[in-house]
Amino acid sequence: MHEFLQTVLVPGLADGAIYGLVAVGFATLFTTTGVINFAHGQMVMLMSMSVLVAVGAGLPVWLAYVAALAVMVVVALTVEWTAVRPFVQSGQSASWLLSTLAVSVVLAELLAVPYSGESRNFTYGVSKHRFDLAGLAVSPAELTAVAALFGVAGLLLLFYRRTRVGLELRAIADDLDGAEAIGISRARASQIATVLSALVAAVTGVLVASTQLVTPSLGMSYTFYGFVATAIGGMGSIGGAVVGGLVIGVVSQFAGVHVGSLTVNLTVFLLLALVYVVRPHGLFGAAPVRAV
Amino acid sequence: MNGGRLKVDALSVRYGGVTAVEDLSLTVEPGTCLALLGANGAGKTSTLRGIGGLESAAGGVWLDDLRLDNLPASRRARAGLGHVLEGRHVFKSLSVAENLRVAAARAARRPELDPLDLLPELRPMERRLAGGLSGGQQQMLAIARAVAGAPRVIMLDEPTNGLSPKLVGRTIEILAGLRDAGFAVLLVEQRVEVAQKLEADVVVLRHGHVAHRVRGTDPDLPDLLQAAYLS
Amino acid sequence: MSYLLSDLSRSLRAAAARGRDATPAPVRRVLARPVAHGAAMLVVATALLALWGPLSYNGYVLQLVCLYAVATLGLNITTGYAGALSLGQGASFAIGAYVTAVLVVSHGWPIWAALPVAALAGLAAGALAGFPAGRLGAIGLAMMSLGLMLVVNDMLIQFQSVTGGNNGLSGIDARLWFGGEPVSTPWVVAIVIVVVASVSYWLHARYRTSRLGRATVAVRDEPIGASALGVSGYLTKVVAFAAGSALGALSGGLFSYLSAYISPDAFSSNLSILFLVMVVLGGSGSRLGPVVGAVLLVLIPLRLDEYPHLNNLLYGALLIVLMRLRPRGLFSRTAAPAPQALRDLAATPEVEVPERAPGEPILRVTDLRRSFGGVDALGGVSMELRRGEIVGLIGPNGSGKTTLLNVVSGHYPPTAGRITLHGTDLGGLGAAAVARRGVSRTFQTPKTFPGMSIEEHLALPAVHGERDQAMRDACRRGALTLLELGGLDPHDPAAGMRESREMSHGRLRFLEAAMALGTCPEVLLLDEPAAGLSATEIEGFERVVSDVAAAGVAVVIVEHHLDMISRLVDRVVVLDLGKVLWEGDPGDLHDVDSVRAAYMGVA
Repeated sequence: MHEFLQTVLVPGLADGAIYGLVAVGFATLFTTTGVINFAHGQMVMLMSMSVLVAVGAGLPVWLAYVAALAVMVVVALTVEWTAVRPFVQSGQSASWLLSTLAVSVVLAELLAVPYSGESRNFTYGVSKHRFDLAGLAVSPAELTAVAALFGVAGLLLLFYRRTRVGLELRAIADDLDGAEAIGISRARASQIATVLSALVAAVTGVLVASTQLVTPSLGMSYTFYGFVATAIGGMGSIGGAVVGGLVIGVVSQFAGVHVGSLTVNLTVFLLLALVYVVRPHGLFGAAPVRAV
Repeated sequence: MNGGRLKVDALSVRYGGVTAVEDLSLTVEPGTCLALLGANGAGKTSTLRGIGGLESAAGGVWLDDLRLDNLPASRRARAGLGHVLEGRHVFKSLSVAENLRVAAARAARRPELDPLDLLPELRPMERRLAGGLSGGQQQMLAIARAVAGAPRVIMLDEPTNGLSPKLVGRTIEILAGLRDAGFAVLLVEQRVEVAQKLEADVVVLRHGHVAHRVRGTDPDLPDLLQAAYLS
Repeated sequence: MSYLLSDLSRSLRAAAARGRDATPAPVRRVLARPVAHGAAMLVVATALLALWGPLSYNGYVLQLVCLYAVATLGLNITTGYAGALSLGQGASFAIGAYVTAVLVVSHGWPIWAALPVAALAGLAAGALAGFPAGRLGAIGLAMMSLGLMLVVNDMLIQFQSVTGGNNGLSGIDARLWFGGEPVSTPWVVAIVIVVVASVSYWLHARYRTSRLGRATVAVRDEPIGASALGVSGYLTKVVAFAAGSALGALSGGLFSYLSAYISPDAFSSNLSILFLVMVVLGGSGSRLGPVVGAVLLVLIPLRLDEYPHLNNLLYGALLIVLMRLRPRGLFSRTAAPAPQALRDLAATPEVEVPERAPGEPILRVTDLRRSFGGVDALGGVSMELRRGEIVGLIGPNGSGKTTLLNVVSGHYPPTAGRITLHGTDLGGLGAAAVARRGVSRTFQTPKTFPGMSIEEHLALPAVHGERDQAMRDACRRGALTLLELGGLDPHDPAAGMRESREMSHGRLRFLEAAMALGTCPEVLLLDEPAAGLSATEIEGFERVVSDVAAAGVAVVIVEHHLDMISRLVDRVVVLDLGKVLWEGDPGDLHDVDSVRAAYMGVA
């Protein structure tokens, strides 16, 4: 039992928190725009790499963070303009899929430029040194990851419920024509949603870097894992993203420890196939009403 | 004073190669009601969507002295052009109160008319999700939502569509209330009785062109309309 | 950039058109056949190979182009024809490459046995991934295929004893017999690559013009319209996934032979994206486009080889620019010929129109209800339709007319109530199944297939079940008349080759109605067929409806043109608020006060 907690549950939940955060990032953009950003995993890596590069260039750590955030916002707005806004609530999934995928290819290649794509140790985030907590060895980074997942999800839910801008984003998602007719700008909503999603990616990036080595080529994997979490939880559901992420984290960690590290992707893939066969709209998603 | 004057000059709306509305001009004064009548496909909805900026259109649109036709739809709405769309388009996953809150005008201009005073029947259902309301209730909410934005002109697209006779009567009352509160009301309807009871000015459209301009009180109106339907 | 691309494609198209006009008709017909294109490719590639020699750099590049083209053509079946975006073509490629390599290195298989087995392995993998994914939208498919790519890469390392792990496999030589000596000449592999590429092109083009291919494209363009013609979507997507993956694996097998050594490094996820960009650049769904895409994207990057990173940046940037400026690629035309359909229709004999006489009841709707959220769109409708009868369905907007059609045609399941055709229940059936039982329909906005030619539209509908010859002839005659009314000369082959996306709304209306008649339905449901038509067109349309009804087709027509209704129909049903308000002879319609009140608000 203790071994299960130590080798599967603790690291599984920490990883799961990161997958959950990726899924929350997807949901943030998807609810408002109907677009899933295939480059989101690269955005996560972009945050870690930007901090690394900025520190490497001699900036103090706090300034490196500011610079990295600035990079994230600028890149997010560019992505929004090229690959999101033309397709807001358009239903043309093939178009935005290809566009965001293209952005992902470009970002992945740019990320491979510094350090020739090699993995790097990141020491500017939360500490990864484990300490004893009720008999389990856990690191502050792992705890922070789980706390951040719930914190970010909770803040977003409050934002969507309590603030006017949050309501406006939900209104756009519900009915684009109705929203424009009462003065909500589609372009602005799409920008806000993309930047919010990029900020979630920034938090995720710091946590990824704090819990493991920074490997720039892993962006696409994060996209995939985050998406499987989304598929489990249901498209656009933030609560579902949290649950889905944690489930994948624990299941994949279990497979990694007890079956072999190379079966992790396979396990997650089979999980996705299973969800699609059993519950194609996820645990918390609703089947769309088909319109003729 | 709530209202402003809506002036539309030589409006044309085209989809692909098809002309839905051509060279349509009209003016709605504050405190009056203008009704566009005509058969399906005559161009009524296209006219409203063109004015509202939801469909690209040629021609001038003014709210008092403010030119709207080069603005996107959301800016036109914020400038005071309220639009109750055909098919209601309420935000189904938001509650009634949230629907009104998201539409409420920003601090600068408060509505002189509280939408819940105009439509008190919505008060008991403020916490319900809009998607769970009946068709008639959704229609009332759609009107209330437009009023919440403190508009100066209100355009309504077939507000009585699919309503029971009792609710049609209630809708007419509400529209009269809007007109008497000083709004300029531009109405698209299929039912001539609405225009008659509101004593509106009537523009009958046929194939995207103006077929007649008459008073709603004109006794010949039903016959003119039937002729426009049957041709 | 956009101008450049469209200029390029315009001049290509103009050159092609000039060439077409200059050739005599019989030659033209031969040249239009995929087999001619395939043969031409074979001749050109073999000639170039003979010129350069298979071991030269140019010869190598040529073989690389050919084998990449095979994978790209496969992806075009999945993504272009079926519209299912696949990020997993690289996975199929890797599977094929490793199956081939293992069979050759460990078991000494000959080339003619190893390659087909590789293709079969790809087919199986594609079917497996496509099976659950076939029910999903584009996003689900993309993610399943992306996952497959990640998994395959892991498996290559996991099963080290078979795949050689990170070290890969070497010594992949062509043999002619099981366990035989490797052949010494590079010509065998070179010729196999060139021949496989040409045959793949031919197969991929044949796929498109086959019945299955047409159904696949129809489902891609307009799934609802396809279901109304009895074409259901699920299988077309799974088959396309499997077929595309088979070609991807075949291409991978060729790659093994060409490189003689493979390792997991060669199969990164960028490979999948490269194939995708080839398809999108060339023109997704067009037949020639993917080949051009493969040629361009093998040749251009070779020039950039000395600058690291630039290649992938170029793919990505190219894809972004394409999606913004020219999303349909260089060759944007996706229509295929189906001349037989038009020829058959044009040859329909004149038919004698019998007197109209409604017969026995065939369709019965009992207390039908349908609600959406809190709104009752249908609140208990009962009606009956007789053979050869025309019923007009009228009522104000939102009264439930279209919903009634949607429920009867199987596009919405009823909330309660029964629908029977000849006494059999239709209630639980989907739209495609209802259509195959003999219920055909049109939509308010014509649901035609923008990326298909007019001929193909007409080849799509099939007659299911028994119909007497007189009824078949009447339907065909009606379809022909509709096409002529829509300004389409059935004797002009060029007209039949136009894509329906270029056609105006009014013409599409006629085309859609002609397709509905192409199934020779027992029940025909028309949703506002006259909207936007001129008086002469309406008149012609009425004649067709009346003639097919005389031959036995039962017609329900939803319409706002009351004069058309009063001329055409045997009986009028007025709906209001989801209920039948009045039913009777069209002549009495104007005298019924409640109808006037509900319909026009004229008190």
